[in-house]
Amino acid sequence: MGAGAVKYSVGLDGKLFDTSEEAEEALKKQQAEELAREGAAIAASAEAAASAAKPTATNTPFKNRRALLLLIMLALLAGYYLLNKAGLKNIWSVGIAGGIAVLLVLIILAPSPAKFVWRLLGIIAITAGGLLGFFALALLPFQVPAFFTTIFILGTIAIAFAEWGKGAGITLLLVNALLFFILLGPWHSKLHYTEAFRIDSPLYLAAEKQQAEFAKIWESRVKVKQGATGVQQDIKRRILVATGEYEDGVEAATSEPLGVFLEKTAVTRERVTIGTPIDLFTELTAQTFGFSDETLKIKLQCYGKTFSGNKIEGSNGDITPQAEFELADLESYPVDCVLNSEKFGVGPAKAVIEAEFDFTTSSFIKGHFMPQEIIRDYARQKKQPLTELGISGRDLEAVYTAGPLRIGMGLGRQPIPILPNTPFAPTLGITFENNWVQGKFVEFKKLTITAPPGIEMIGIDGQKILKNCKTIQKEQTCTMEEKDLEEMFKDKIFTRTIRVQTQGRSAEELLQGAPLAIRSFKLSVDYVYQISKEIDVTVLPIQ
Amino acid sequence: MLQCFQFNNKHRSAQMRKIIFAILGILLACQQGIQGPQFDSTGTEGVVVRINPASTQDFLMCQESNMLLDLNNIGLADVPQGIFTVITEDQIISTTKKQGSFALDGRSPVNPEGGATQLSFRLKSKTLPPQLETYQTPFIFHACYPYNTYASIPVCIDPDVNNRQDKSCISTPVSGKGGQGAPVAVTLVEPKITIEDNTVIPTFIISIANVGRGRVVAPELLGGCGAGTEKSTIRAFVQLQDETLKCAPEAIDLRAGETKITCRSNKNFGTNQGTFTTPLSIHLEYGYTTTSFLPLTITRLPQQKQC
Repeated sequence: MGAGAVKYSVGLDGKLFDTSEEAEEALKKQQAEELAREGAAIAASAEAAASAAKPTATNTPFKNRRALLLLIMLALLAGYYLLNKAGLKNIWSVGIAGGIAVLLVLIILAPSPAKFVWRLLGIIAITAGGLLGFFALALLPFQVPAFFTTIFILGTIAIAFAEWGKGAGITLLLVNALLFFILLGPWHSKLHYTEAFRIDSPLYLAAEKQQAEFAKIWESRVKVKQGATGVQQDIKRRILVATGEYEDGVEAATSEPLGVFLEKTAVTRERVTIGTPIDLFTELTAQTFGFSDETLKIKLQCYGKTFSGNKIEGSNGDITPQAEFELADLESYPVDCVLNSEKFGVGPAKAVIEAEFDFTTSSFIKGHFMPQEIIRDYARQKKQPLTELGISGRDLEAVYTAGPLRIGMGLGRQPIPILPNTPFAPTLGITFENNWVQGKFVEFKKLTITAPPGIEMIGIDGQKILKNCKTIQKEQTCTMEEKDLEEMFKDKIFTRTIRVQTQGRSAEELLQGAPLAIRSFKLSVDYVYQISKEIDVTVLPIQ
Repeated sequence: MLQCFQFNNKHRSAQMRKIIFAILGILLACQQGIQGPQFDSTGTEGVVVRINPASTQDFLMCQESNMLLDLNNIGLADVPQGIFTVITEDQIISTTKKQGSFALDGRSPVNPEGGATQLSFRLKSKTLPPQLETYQTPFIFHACYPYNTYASIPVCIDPDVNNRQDKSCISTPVSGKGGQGAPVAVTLVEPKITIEDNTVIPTFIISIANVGRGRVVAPELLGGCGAGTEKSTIRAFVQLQDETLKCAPEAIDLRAGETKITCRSNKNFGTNQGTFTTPLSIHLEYGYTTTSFLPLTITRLPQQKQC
């Protein structure tokens, strides 16, 4: 190599170039080649990563799929065990657990329809949410009261309405109603809980109680419609009080409560297998007015009733020792009623015992009559005339005898003013009311009203319907029989007020020269009353 | 013998003296013996009625019982004829007498406790309403009688309106506190001096009130035992030094409570006449009613249906 020749090299390979331009060009070319190599490497690794993510049979490791299938199998076994333990029969436990397991396997093995399957499972869960929730609550180790499961079911439907609108809410309501109707309804299909659940299992008991709860809700609707509740009577009473038509009274004190009572009523077994008799027993007690030799005629009967309040046809039982009694002062008899469970049919029902008896309730009120001038005289002196004479408010109250009927009476404000040589006509208001919540009136047989000497009765509620009247020892007594009373007491569960118009014969005859006359109006009512007691029973199918 | 005679005489004299002293002592003791009841001319009651403890309040159905009432006139006026009425529930209780009369003297110095009498009533219970073990019914005794109030109120007549002379008394209202032994009392007398033609006419405002526990009625309607009236219920007679004063209103009605009447003298007193005290006599005539109430309880026996 001669002296003075410059050579240029680039890179590490030691290659020389004559000019700098050649060297730069070679350098650029080398850099470009290195960049290209790096890009290719990056692309190759990305491709490798993408292909590794694809679930292809050829791509998923065989080990992971097997683990999932194993998990599904375990879930299937666990599901079957839980459902079976809860009380679902084998066929249904296998069917439900197996069905869900199949769907899950499908999701794993066929990824394309997985989305559809998930959606399907979601829809099933939502629409049958009430039923599924009921199942879930039944699986709890403790018994959840049927009231709460009812609230849960209604709550899911309410949420559906609120969250997803009317369409979804209505769908949910109809689906749940159908499912519960099939499960708990009166028709016993293969899907009915008595067929699908094992007897006395948690699911069976939960379904039974839920059915009873639904029946009670239905029954209360019927009761309200019939007007047989204390609420209905209370409303009627309040209306009469507000309009000033309610006449008050106090019950006469007696040493024992008067009437007929069914005490300690129960069944020997609340759950019986169909074909086994149902033994309903009670203690029949009667308390008559001990100061007389009167007896009470009582008729008993017993039968079955559905939860909706309908009597079960042909379910009348046999009563021992007898179905008719005549009891007197504080007599008591144990009574048994044997019912045929086959007439009841499988499922919950009520065993009912009824007692019907004749009874009489009496009432009276003292009227205080005073010349008007004396009343005014006291008023000017700012004094109460009756108080000045020693008569208190208690003396002005009507008194009725103990029993199922409450009779209030009123004569308006007392003392009743009397004008000399002027006719006077106090109106007697009478309020009848059911005094016992556990019973009802069957019929009214006789109503007798007695007016004191010097006063005559001329009509009731403005009608001259008092035909059967006679005067004994100056007291006028009018009697109304059953036929007349049917119209007056149409509604046997009632609070009813009638007004008796009267006419005074003579102020002088009434007062007889005294500044005050005390005269009583008396009333008695003969009627037939019925009391009953109900006990819940469940008839189980033969296993 | 003379000595024996003299000894005997002396012995007899001593015995006589002892006997005389003993008699005098007994007479003295009788004079200053146990004090009788003092006579008190105040009080606010007339005839009072008390239920005698021997009366029967509780009895059985269809049985008889006795009711004894003690009447006592503890006011000062006599009751020559009072009427009573018994009020019962005739459908439950019957009684032998429902009306009657009585007469009772008022209290006086010779009869400081007033006249008293006992009325007896035989009661019989009838059949109770059915299904009742016990029954409460009232026994009301209502007495009506004429009565009088006599009040003698010392008043000061002061014609010296110019205060020229010494006064022996000062004309001030006089209270009738404590009553005058009757249920209607004069509670206050206010003297007023009216001057007409340079002479003084005494005028009195008299307050009258019913301070007893009963009711005032018109004396003319006592036959109906106080059956009420729209007319006056009290007649007043007021006298000053033998002169009957003219009072207004003439009709005194106590139904609204305490009432005032104004009574005026017809006599004129000159302003030069001296101040003096003289009694103002007030006589009130009226009828009065007294009521007593007793609750009776009738009990039915077991197995007892009717009488």
